[in-house]
Amino acid sequence: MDKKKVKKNVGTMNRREFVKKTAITAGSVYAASTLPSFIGSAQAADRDHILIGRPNPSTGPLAAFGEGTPWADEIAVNEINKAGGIMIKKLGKKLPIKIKTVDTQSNPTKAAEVASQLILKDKVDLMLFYHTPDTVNPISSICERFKVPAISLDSPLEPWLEGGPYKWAFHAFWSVEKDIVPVYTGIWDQIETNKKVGILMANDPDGVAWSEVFKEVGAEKGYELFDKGRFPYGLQDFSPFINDWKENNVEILLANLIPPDFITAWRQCQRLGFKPKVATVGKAILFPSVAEALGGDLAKGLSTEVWWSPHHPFKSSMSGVTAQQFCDRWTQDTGKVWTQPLGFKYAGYELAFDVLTRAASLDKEEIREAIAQTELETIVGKIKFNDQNYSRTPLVGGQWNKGEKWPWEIKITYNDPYPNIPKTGETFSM
Amino acid sequence: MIREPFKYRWLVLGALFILLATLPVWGSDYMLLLGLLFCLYAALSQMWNLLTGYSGLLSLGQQAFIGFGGYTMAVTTSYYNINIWLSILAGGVTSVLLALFMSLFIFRMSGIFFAIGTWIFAEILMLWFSNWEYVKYGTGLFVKPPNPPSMTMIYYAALTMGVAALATVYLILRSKIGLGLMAMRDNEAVSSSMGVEIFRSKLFCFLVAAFITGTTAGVLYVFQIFIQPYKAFAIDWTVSLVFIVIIGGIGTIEGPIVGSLIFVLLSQYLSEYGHISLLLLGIIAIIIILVAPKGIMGTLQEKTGFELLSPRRLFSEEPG
Repeated sequence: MDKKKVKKNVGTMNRREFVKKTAITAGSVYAASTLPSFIGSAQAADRDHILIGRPNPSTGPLAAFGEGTPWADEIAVNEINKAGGIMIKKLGKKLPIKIKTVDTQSNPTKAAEVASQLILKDKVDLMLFYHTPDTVNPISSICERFKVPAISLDSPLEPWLEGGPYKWAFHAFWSVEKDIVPVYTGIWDQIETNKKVGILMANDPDGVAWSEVFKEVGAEKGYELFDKGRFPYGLQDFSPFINDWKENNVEILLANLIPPDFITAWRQCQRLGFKPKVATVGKAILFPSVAEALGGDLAKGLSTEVWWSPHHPFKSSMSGVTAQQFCDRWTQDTGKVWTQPLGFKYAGYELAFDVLTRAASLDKEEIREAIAQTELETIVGKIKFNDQNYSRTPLVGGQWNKGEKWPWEIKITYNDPYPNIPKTGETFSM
Repeated sequence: MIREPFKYRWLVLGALFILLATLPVWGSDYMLLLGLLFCLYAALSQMWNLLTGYSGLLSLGQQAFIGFGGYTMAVTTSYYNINIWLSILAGGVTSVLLALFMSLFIFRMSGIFFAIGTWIFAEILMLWFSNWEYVKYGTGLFVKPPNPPSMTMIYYAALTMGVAALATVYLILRSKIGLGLMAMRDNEAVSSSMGVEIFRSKLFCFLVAAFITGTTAGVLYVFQIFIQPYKAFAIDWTVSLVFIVIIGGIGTIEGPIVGSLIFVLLSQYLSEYGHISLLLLGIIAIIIILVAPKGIMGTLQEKTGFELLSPRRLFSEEPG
């Protein structure tokens, strides 16, 4: 040992030492040379396409929202590219669009990270993203920071507006205060009740925003609200809520929560004998799969908001396909019943196509200006952004009932705010 | 076996530092993002390594400081319009206070009980913040500083944290406390009887880790812009840190650096693969653990003696 040490100190190198050091050097040189290939696409390529960034909640608790994304993406991209793509004046030619989808894992932190990646690495020309505040809020902020034009859909306006004022991000969906409240109270008014409302809302952006707005506006409209507070995801025992409603003789249930929690809560309501005359449930029962998962007849009579359906009298601005035809195609391709987010997934591309066509440029500022001037009749209705960069989309009310074609079907039973969307049924007391 | 440290280590480290410090000049925007994430994860994982790898404090509650530091920054800068850098420092200070408070309870526990104790604290904070009107419940807060910093400024803040974390760990380990820590980690009873002040050394490390974690979290959330309690206080953070330190090499100073580099590159690369990205990350971790049980740097050190920063002070540096 001592001998070896002395030897090293005078600066010579034995064979083993030499091999070791050479290996390390070679290893680091190799690592350094492969690094650029990892980040190679950072270099701006010759423009032969327009790139749209598509952060999507493909995994995690929001996966049900992200479900139809690849299907809708494919249809829309094919429609745009069939005609050769979008004319870019400066290049004097048409460029096809390409999309790059990345997974946000339903996690706002991850969403911000992948959005930054899309902007900085892939250099997307436009960001297109949907589904709930956890996706829309962080990505809008990131686009704002890097000055990238962004269009988002499918997330209530109020939580999104918290992050404003926006310059680069634009959003289209309904407002809790201006749309949900009139639709829900409208449904309540269709049934004779004692106007006592029990609130069951999760502790998340939707639950917090909804409960605050309803407590304010509901009281003004003469409803008495019973609220035991927000609850965390995954709660197993809802009996404190249910017993409170029973004691106070509540006849209307107002809820906003995620599907698994609603299934637990609603089954407990049955077991404890709480049977409201009206139950308006946000978010949890948008999807027919949940109505089915409740089991038995438990879904019968539950009401919810309807943002889009095959009965909406709108059609695609790109292909002229009606909402009904679009849903039929979904069923034909997947064997599944339509869901509300489908229309919005497609509408995003209608906006992108319209905006890029009008801008006819890859300059971000020009694209941004084109978004601001949007006025388009899409498959989800008319979209025209206001000076706060948002556009409200129509909202009506619906009720679940046993279906003819599918085990459970939702009927549109309240359409006062948008009479052009036809009713397909009448609200009945549960 | 006593080995002499790698001869050109200061040269290598200096070159690395200059490379990172000049990144905004020569690198693309995307490389800046990678550098930013790398520095942040390196700082956070260095602190977890200090606790678990050197002090024997298995913490599963680092997310408590990440959330607390992040929220402190968000609240002070968005509600009170305080300068963003001061807000980030404030996050570090409040994290230290939180750590002091936590230590009242969890320092009465050891081993796995300590780990669970730290985790429980983080969960309590999650429930507290998600039910607190002041921070808008579970909705989350947008970070709106009076003067939003540029990406380059955020990068330098992250680099500062990365370097500070590395320097802190190195200095602590080269000090008397460090010697005591390693003795304590290897055998608490013996080291105690040899005069190592166990409680004070552990507390010291815990507070230092809290400060740097809280401050780093502040920088992280300045970059993120949006903070939400369910993710800020989520165990996911610690899981990532464990992944980084384990594959990099636990109980080595270089481990967290190598681990962070791999983690950041992998998670960027894999995010395109949607559903299978997490699966692939898990498979990679398993392979590395099987091939190199002491992590990449730990195994490299064992096999070749290659060490950039050694906590050991060697007698061989003197003749004889």
